[in-house]
Amino acid sequence: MEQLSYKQLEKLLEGVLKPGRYIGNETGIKSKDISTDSDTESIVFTALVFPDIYEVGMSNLGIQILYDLINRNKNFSAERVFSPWFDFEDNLLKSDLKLFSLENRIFLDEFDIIGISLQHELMYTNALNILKLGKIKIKSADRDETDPLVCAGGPACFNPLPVAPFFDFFVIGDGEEAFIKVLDVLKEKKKNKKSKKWFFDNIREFEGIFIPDDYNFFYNDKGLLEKIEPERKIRKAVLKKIDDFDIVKNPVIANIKPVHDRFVCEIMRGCFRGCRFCQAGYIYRPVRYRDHEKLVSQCIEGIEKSGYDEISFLSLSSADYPGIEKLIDSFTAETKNEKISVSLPSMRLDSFSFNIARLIQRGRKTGLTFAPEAGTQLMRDAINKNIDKNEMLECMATAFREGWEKVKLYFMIGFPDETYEDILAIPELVKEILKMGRELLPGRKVGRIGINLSINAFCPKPFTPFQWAGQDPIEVLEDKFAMIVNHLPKKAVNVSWSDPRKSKLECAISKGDIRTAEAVERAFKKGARFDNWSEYFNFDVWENAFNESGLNMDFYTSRKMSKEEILYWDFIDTGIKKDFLIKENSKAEEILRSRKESDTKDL
Amino acid sequence: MENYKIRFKFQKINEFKYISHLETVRLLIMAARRSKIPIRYSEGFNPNPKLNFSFPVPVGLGSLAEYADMEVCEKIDLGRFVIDLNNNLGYGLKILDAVFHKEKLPSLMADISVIKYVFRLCFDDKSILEEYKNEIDSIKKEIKSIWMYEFSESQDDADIVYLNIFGYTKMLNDNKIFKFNDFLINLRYLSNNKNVGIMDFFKEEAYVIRGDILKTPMDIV
Ligand code: SF4
Repeated sequence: MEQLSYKQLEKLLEGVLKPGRYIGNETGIKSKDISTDSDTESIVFTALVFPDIYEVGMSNLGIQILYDLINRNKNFSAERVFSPWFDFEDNLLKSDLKLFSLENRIFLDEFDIIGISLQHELMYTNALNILKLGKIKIKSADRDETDPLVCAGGPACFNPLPVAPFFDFFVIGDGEEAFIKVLDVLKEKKKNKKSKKWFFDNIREFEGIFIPDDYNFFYNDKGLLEKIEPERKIRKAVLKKIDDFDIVKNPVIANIKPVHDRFVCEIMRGCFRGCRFCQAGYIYRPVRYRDHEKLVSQCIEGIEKSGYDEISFLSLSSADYPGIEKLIDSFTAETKNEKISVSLPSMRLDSFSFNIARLIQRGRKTGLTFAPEAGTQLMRDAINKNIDKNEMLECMATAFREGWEKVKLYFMIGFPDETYEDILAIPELVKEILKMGRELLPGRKVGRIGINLSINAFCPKPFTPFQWAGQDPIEVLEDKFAMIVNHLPKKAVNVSWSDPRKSKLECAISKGDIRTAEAVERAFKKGARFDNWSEYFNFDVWENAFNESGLNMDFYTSRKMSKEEILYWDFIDTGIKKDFLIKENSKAEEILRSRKESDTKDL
Repeated sequence: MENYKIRFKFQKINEFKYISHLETVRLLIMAARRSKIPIRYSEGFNPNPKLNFSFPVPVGLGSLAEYADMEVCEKIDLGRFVIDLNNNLGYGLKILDAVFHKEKLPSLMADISVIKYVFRLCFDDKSILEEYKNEIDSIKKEIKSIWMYEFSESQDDADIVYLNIFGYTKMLNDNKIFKFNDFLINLRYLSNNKNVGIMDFFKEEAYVIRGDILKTPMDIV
């Protein structure tokens, strides 16, 4: 296998801003050592690609899980590849060298298979760029038997069509069992020198495997999807017994500080809350909890092996893990000499989870996070975010009395049938909280009160009850946001806002179809990269790319799809029936209709 | 609780010369935690390990002589300390030596005054060596930050000559502070003109001054 030499690496690193991103050699590396295990013919080599920079990719749990799992098998070896930053890419191109993996510095095109993790739509161009830098043709149809297989997995793949032409196949759903099964077949292919066709024929029936070549999409003259052939649906892969796989106890420790620099333990997968806008809540079902006792012992082992002083109990909604307080208690009791701090990301705060916040922040009182998402109770009911305002305020009252000074609030705007009332309720709520804080905070702390308000644009997503909805046009979203800002108190509130053009693109691609892939390719060829990074995001490039592909972004974003329409992603079976989503959608519509009838202050 | 101070020396070479100082500190602390070394922490809400380093070597320059002082809560076995840490670190970051020290020593940052850098040079034509030496001498006079320099010829390879530069890291008399990267640019320019190849360079040792003598931070413990 061809590798980059150390001398070549040194040359490539000249003048590079953060050379530590490219050096590998981390603690926790598990790939096969190809200088000693010289029998490379009998080992299947996987490049695990995360198409963002090292610090971001090294914080992704999915990559660590697959890396650990693949490398535990003596027949397989996995190595990591991340997006190079612009300076390193320039050096690669100037020296005419191919992108390589971090462990053995194997050139990308030498691998048997390249698996790319797609977390969200705004990393698609980075994924294509990685292929290009590895001198691999970006389109599946242009690659032949000598090229590596290229596949994708991750949450964004639930609607695979906007990137379908670039991948030979997709693994949809949980990767643990599904990907290993694929590698087993690949091992046979390599050993017996079988064709790619033979390989596809042998993985086709597996759960979660989508091979784009197998499917055809027919449109009518209005540009609507008329038929998907064959009718066979792709059932997502589900890991049934999550405890069959231990958490990753000895992760690769990043050489330079990753964005999340802590030990991560996934305590459960899935979320039963059913917020109607939330794709993760639907695609990760069913909810699976890890066993309490096993978690405690695995986490202790993990903390010892990794050397971290912080642990994160990760899941979509960690406060919903049954016995979460007990879990934190048993873990902290066992590690009390080591000063390990605990964090729970994505906390849905109510009075119950406030106790947990108290538990984990142990006197530090850094801040409380609430995600009511919508301003009025009615809209919260419609989106099924069952946070009760009074309960929330009561919980904040307790917090203020105890001296917590900072509150973080998450809202979304642009929900279907949203009104002025919903929008104005947001600054009203903020004012109410501030007033309460000023009354309740102990004397000298009053001046330090602060609210961080984060506003995002609603983006209808496939496989949610709102999948048929249209997204508000950019101007409308901007008006709504301005309205919020105008009504906010000037002091003590800090508001941040996600770029609505980014949300629009995210929506256009996530609700996209096979035609969208052309726009993705064009945008990439026009230089789009790091679309998720505000400083590099260029909306005009994307708009032109859509137009030149004969597409109108609005067709995907603002158009309300009809319930009778065949949806582009209807051939993917997440285990949740479309009828159920329709019913959920009607419930939301009904709630909102009740208001329309009494009041017509529509925007 | 009793206090024990360990002074240790480590190398930062190969790939790890590309890791910044802050990242090196992070990696060493994590390795110490994995090795279950009872590091002392400062008091307060954000306890920090009691660990102090010598002046950071520039990113990209390998070093055979980085130093640090660490406080631990128990008198641990130093042999184990070195072995355990090295089992938890890659070869690029490797502990070379460790000693306990009792009396109050000046901090490494304040004490280290001179650093020795080694350049491995390749002369196609040895006859220009004198000329080259003169050029180095005029650089020394110009930049005022070199304590001394010396040339030594390689035993095994006739074309190779070592240039050792002792640069000041502190203002002592009327000297300036040696800036490695600036010097390297100068040296590259000079070597290019004279057709001399710079094959390799690294930081070999750090010194404190006692009397008029250079001593390593380990010597004075
Ligand atoms: S928004 Fe949070 S709580 Fe609601 S369904 Fe999604 S993950 Fe669960």
